[in-house]
Amino acid sequence: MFRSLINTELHSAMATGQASTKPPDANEYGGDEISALVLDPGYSTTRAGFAGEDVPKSIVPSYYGLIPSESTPKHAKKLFGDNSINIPLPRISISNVMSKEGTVEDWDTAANLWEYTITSRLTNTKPTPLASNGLNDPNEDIAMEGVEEQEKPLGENPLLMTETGWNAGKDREKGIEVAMENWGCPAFWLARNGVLAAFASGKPTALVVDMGASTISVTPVHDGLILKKAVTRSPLAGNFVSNQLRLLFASSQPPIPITPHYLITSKTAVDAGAAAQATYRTFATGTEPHPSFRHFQEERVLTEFKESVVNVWTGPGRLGGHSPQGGTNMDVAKQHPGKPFEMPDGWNQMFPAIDRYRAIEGIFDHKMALSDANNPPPSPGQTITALISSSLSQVDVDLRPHLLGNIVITGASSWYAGFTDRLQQELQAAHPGVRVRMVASGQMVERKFGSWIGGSILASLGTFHQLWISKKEYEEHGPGIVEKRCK
Amino acid sequence: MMGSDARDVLGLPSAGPPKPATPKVQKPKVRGPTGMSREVLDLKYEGAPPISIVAPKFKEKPKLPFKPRPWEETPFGNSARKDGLILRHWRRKGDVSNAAALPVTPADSNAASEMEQDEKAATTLSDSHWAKFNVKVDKPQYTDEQYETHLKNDDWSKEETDYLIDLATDFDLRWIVITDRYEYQPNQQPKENEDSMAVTLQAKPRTQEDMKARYYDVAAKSMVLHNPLSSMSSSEFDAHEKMTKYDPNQERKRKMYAEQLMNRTDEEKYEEEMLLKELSRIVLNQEKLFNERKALYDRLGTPPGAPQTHSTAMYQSSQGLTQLMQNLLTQNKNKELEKKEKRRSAMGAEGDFPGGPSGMDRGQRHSIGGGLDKRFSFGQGGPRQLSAREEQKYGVSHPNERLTGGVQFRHERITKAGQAKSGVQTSRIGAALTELKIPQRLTMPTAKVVTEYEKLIESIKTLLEVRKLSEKLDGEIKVWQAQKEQQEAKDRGEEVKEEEPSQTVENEEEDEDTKEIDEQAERRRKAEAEDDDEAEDDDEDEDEDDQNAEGKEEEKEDSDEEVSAKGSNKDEEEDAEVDENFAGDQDDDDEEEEEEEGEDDEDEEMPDEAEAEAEVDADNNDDNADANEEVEDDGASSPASAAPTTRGEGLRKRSASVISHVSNKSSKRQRR
Repeated sequence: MFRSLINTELHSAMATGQASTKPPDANEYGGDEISALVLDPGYSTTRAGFAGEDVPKSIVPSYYGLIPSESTPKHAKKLFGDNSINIPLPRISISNVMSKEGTVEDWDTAANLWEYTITSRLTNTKPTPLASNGLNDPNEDIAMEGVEEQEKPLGENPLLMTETGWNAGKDREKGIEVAMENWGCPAFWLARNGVLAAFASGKPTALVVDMGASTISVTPVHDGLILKKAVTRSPLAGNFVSNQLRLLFASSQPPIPITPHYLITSKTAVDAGAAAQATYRTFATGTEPHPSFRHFQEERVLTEFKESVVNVWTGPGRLGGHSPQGGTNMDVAKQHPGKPFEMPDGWNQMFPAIDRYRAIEGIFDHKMALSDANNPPPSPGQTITALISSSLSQVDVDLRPHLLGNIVITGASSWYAGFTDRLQQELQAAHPGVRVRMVASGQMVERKFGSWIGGSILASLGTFHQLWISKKEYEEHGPGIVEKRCK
Repeated sequence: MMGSDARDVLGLPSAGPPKPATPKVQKPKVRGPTGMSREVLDLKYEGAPPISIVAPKFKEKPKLPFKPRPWEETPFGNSARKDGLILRHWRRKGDVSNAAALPVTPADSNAASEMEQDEKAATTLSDSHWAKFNVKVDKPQYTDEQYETHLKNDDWSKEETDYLIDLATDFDLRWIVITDRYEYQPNQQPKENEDSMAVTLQAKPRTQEDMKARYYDVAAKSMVLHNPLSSMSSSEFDAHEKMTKYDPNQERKRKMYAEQLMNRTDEEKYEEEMLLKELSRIVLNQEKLFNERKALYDRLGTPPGAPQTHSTAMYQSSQGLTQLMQNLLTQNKNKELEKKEKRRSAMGAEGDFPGGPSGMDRGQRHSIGGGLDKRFSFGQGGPRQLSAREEQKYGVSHPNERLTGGVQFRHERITKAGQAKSGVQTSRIGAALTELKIPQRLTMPTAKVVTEYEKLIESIKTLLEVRKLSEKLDGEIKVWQAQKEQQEAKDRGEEVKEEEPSQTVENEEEDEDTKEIDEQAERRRKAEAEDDDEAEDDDEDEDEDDQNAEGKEEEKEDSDEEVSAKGSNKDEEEDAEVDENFAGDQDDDDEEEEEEEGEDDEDEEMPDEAEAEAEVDADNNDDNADANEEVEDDGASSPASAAPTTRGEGLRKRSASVISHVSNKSSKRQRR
């Protein structure tokens, strides 16, 4: 237990006389930690950690590997965690427990994945005493109940779970069921990730723009409560940019192939633009990984590309618009420097600035989005500015200036260079009478794990103790209590 | 190095007992293979190791000044919870500083049996430090009967009201959230007796204002029901007041405006900024402007108070109103008083106060003009004392005589000065001024200059009168002389004798004129020129202070003119033109004179002049007719004028009266 670790650390510090012997006064920060766990599932990763810490200790991809069993196709082997799912095992396929909307799609696997997330790093399943685990008993029916009780992985830790602002009632009830029935949590709470992201920035009232992998959402938060009717979202998020890049690569002359790392056995350096000279890995027939595995591995390459090359056009005006000096902004962008990028197979090229801007411009300007048959062009209402305006229009007038003055930017996909500047520009142009102010942390970790950090703060507060849904309450009212309590 | 040296260096006891310094025992010199260093050879052949071996030893345990207190995972309850959830946190062993005792209830023991077992000995659990922050809003309470009697509303069913109040309590009156979460579904399970009713019910869309209005209404009424107004504390009463005064329509309007304000475009914003700047500029200047206006009001005499404040704020209290009424009453009284006085008083002499007071505002004027009559000054301020300089600046005068003529502007003096009652005279004055090279309209009409100008005009007028008189007398003398000659001719036959008219002539230069007896117009012209000269002299005297050099120049010019007037035709033509002008102006003059009832003495001269002209220009019929009229009007003063035979007599009488009048007038002026 980390607490006991801290305890010993404190003891040793005391021994050397280096630290105060007193713990920080609880009144100073309002904290009163009860070893609660915070679980924040997202489309790309699932984050878990102890409340009161500043980063999640356990970060596991929400993708899982599936190796179908040859004899019984129904019982496929599930693989969780970065170390397992990136190995090109025979016939491995990759799936995601979350739907594209950010809600849980496959509850059984999700429960497994979350359990893995928590138990792999944070808690350990208690070893059952040999005398009572029932394995050695000839009659299996004797002590099963007691065994179950003891095997629950979270018997000591209250759990705070996050959910999206548009999570439906069924999914919420399922959440508490898993926590209470499967994991035996003494207390549970379901919090909206928009609210938590606002808390992480120290704002009880804010307009949270959460740009994740599958969804970009705008959540107005008032006094720590979301305004449900005004939550807006669209799929123009991180994966949309990846798809834009795929389209961009396919449309360039000659088309740029994306070869993921696992396919490369060896490579030699080549000049920019020259064909790659690499030897590729081959798989015996019948053992090739599923195409979803290749797609997942390509995504990893694209993620690297997005992190290092893609840039948001920061104006003035839009990329498709006219510059104040005359001429189009496209012409201006052509003057900007490009950035080199090397694919895993050694192929490399200087990517011109126009491509770097173009890949993400569709998020702000639907007309600039690339499209093909599989990737329909986004509608004008799906752009980030349209989402924010439509969200604001459904909020009380008195609240709007406050929201515009506290726009919290969170989500790993908001880390594109120039994203915040551009958004600020667009919003200020749309609302000239109001002061628009962005609250965007400059720390990568805080941006990536905004909602988890908020949950960590919330669950470690002394005043939060009275809000937990206790096991007793759950047993009394059933899973419906989540709707009543977690508003 | 030997092994013993190494031992010495490392402080180790020597291998054996110290040997006495015996003569060196010749050790067998062992020679190793060449090329090896001495140290290596030593290692090989000497017995003692070159390094010491120290047994490893752990660091000593520090001696702490206190006994370490371990931390332990302490279970605690929370009195804000109803379910008795027991959580654990890490606390110092034996530290109960921030925990109050919380009695264990049977429910607790059921809920956390596992934890109970750990704490079997303890009969109490510590309460959460944070339980005291569990604060809830008061929920308005009412019974069904109370609802029926007091809170019934056609728009809101009891179920919906209950739902609203529950929601408001749940969200602690965060109306924005309440509006967001309001999802009232009318009665899903209607009561048996209201079945038909419930089916027809439909959820009405509720705005935040509707909800607030309903909630405040219910809350205020239930507040009164539980606690009558009279026994409420002040804070409760305030809350009640606020709730009863909520106006949803106003709130709606406010939000509409707020939305408009938020949706301004950039241009609108810019325009508004400009307007605001303009406004601030006006506000800055307002003080100045207002002071100027106030000064003007003060001078024109408006009720005190009103112009100073420019707002009705001071009249909003009953006290202010009474004061205003008092003021108005006093003013009314004063007005009446003034009117009475005015009626009693005859038309006073012409005052020289340019902005002469009307009857209405005399009291106020007095209060400003240095307080001649304190009786009339009212208002809290009292008369303002003006310095001499200010008095001069504002043209304040302190006339001894009563002033008439109503309110006038000072600038009227400038134009008025050059105007006489009759157009003829005005143009003559104008002609005189042009000769003097003084513009009719002053270029710089300061108060001083205008006063001097007025003096000049006055003397021009006098001169004109005198000239007219002299002409008349000349004419009469000529007539009488002619008659006399005729008489003598009759007496003496055909002999014609010329007589010198020197004894009746007033001017020294009259001699030359005697040659042309019959042509009176000619003579009049000459006389005019001479009169002008005279006027010039007078003017020079008066204007000496200001324009000495000019005067001298003018003198030269005048003498030139005199010369030319005598000989040149050109001058004669000009004079004729002047005469024509006179004739033309006559009409206007007459009309004026008909209108004006109060005739001045100057007007009496008009018929004389007309007569004189009539004698000269027989063809000027209009003049004649007018002259006759005037003569008729003047009947009182010259009864014999109608008869041609007694004409000479009448003329003489009249000339005498004119002379006396002129002398009177000039003496009066001198007095002034």
